[in-house]
Amino acid sequence: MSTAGIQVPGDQTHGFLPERKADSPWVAAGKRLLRNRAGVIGLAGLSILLIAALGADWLAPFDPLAQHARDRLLPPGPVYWLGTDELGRDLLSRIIYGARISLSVGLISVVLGGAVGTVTGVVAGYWGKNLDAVIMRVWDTLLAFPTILLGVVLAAIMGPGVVTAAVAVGINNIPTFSRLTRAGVLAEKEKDYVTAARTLGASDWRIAFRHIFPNCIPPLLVQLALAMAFAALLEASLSFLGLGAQPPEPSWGSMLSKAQGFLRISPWFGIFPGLALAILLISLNFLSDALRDVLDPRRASLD
Amino acid sequence: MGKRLNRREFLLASSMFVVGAAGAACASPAAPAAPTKAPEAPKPAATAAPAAAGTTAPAAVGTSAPAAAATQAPAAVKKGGKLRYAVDADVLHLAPWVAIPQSHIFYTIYEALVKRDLKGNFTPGLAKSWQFSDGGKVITFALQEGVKFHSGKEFTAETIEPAFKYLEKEGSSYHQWMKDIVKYEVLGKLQVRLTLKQPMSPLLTFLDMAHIPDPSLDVKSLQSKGIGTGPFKVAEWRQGDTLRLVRNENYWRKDVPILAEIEAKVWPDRSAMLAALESGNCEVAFNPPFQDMPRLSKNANLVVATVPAMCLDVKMNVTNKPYDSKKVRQGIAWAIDRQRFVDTYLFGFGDVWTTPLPKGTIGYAPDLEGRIGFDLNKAKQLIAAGGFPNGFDSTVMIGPDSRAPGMPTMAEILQADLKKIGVNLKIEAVEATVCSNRWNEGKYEMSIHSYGRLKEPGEVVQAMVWRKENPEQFRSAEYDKLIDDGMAAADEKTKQDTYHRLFEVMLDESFCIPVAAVPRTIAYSKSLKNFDWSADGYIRADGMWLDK
Repeated sequence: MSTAGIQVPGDQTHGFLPERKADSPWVAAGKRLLRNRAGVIGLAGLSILLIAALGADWLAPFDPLAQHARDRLLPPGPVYWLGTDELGRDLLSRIIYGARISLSVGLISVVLGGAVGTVTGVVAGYWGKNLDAVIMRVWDTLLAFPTILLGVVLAAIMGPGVVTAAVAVGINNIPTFSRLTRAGVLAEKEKDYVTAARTLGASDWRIAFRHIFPNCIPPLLVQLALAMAFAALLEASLSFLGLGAQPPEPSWGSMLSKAQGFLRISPWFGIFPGLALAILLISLNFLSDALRDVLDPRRASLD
Repeated sequence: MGKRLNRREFLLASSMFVVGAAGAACASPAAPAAPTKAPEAPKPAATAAPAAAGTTAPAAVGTSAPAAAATQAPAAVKKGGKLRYAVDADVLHLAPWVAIPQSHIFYTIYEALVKRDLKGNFTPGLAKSWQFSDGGKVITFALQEGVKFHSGKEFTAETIEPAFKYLEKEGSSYHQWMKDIVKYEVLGKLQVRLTLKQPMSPLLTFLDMAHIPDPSLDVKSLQSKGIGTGPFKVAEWRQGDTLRLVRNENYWRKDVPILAEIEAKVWPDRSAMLAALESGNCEVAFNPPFQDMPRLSKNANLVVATVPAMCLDVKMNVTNKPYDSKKVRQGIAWAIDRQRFVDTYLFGFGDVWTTPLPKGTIGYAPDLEGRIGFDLNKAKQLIAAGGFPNGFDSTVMIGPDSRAPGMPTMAEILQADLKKIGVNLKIEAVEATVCSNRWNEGKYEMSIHSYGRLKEPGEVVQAMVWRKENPEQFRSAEYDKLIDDGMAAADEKTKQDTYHRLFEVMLDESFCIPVAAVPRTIAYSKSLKNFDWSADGYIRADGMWLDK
């Protein structure tokens, strides 16, 4: 069966104008992203943190857990570039390793929220009726719970930890992804290419996931970057409350929580983890802004 | 998010942000220039208090407050004035029989039969004098004359029994020992005789804490109105915000209180509380964080003081592997870097403990010092001798820092040190009630714990810490006998010997290992004169006055 002639991102078949070597929509979007200033800044910030997270074992000057009893609460200096914490641990090394926790919580929660959210969103949007009502009401109920409360409840059930924080944030992400996907599916399923596919005998599953879903991806990508930022912030909040990463794991949130009591005597203890978190959040927000710009056909055409 | 930043805007904004942050990080001249050096804090004068072990009353475990008060130049007492008193947590209720973090307020509203001073001596409170008889089983009190409750009701021998019944109720902090008072006899208007089930050696220590409420009121009224006989009475209480106390004009002691009013205000944020103190918006700040104490002690307008209030210890459940081995437990006792904890968490404002109770308490003897300490090689050898030459994996359960200050920090220090000798410790932080339940049910491997009431062993035993059915699940006939003998000891010599032996057993068995004394802290303005507090670190405001 063929879908020739239908412009589907991700589908390399271009029935019209076969002689023109056009970029695929994704490649074109990627090129536009690299021309977008906010996008480049976002990508650069994120890349730095990604490199820090992946290369922490080589980049960190000290073991992030090593306590240097004699060097407690040192200000930034030649040995400890960003200073030390109350147990004499190197702050730079802890921040570098902390990137791992923040990014992995972001990733796990987005994968969890994204997977469950998009599948249920497509199902609710395409099949609709009672199924739609049930799925959406369940997510409405879930939305009624503040995320921190959800985190506290999960920590009580599963015990505090990074996985708990990731799952809490992931569950929190589900309704947003689901609603966004459903909205996209509702708009797309009335379009001609869907009728065409149906006429050609495509099954519902094929139409929903192979034809409609790829057209709903752009807004999801924007949401993905935002959700990552939100997840990192939430992990920090949960760790701040002692429900996320457990000592001695170097999470930015728990570092901020500890630093709270030392702000008057050693402000760098709180400032640097806070800056790292700010850089991650700003980068992801810039990236999501840029993605929205380059993936939106109306805006893209203005470039 | 809708508006795109142009390059100039972004660069300006981001550079301002980075410069601001870096500026803030570097503009801290207060950075500890030589953090390797212990802060020059007025060391809690534990050694200044005369060690009176073996005398009729154990010495208080020391405080820097009396020294500070003594050095103040005498000035003419100024009557009146409002003392603004900052506390770091809410006053939950005003019923004196359930201890709360803000129980220190009770010392201004209520009084007890006896009063214990900072040197550990018992002085008359609502009782003028007292006498033991029948081998310590009977105690007769002669009460003060002319004492009235804030309600106007007279305090007499008839008051004692119904007032003590409140303290005896289930849920009362004194329930454990109050129920051992089996008979109350009124011998005259101001004379009462109490008979105990068996002699109770720490009775006077307990009675010092047993504040007497007006028994004609119901529980609810006492919880909200706080009617006692104390030098101050409750004028207004807005829970979560302010407790306003005014002078009790009918107070039985002459010429006190001197202050006209005390306003206790709740500052849940301790940094804000200290800012209020430093800017002159209050005269007393209760419980300032240790990390701020070195800074506060350098402030020419303030006095800082500490009194040892809590002991931190490491518990091990002796029914669990590998802690069923005494050698392993002794190994752990040698792996605790107590000095680092005192330097790191207490900023030097505390003392290393290697005996179950400190110098000055009954049962303490210098020969007990040095039986445990910090030596990782020795720890490793002992753990190997206990059958674990390659170390082992274990979990340490801790409660939140708010419940027992220092637990998380101690856990991290212990974890890092034990790792060096092959013991991998996982820290499990649980909620406060979960922590208590699991202690009581013995569902833990190792835990960090803290307890107050450090004046004599009998108190700690009654506070359910060193009891026979202890959370460490350590059971021994000798231990049980020593606990019983210590509680019932009729004379000081027997008590001293019994508790000395108890300490020896505890150190040898190492199921509950002392770490450090965590003091109660206070900072107050130099305009506050004649500052006084109890051995528990609770303020006694009757003699205080403001020079301004």
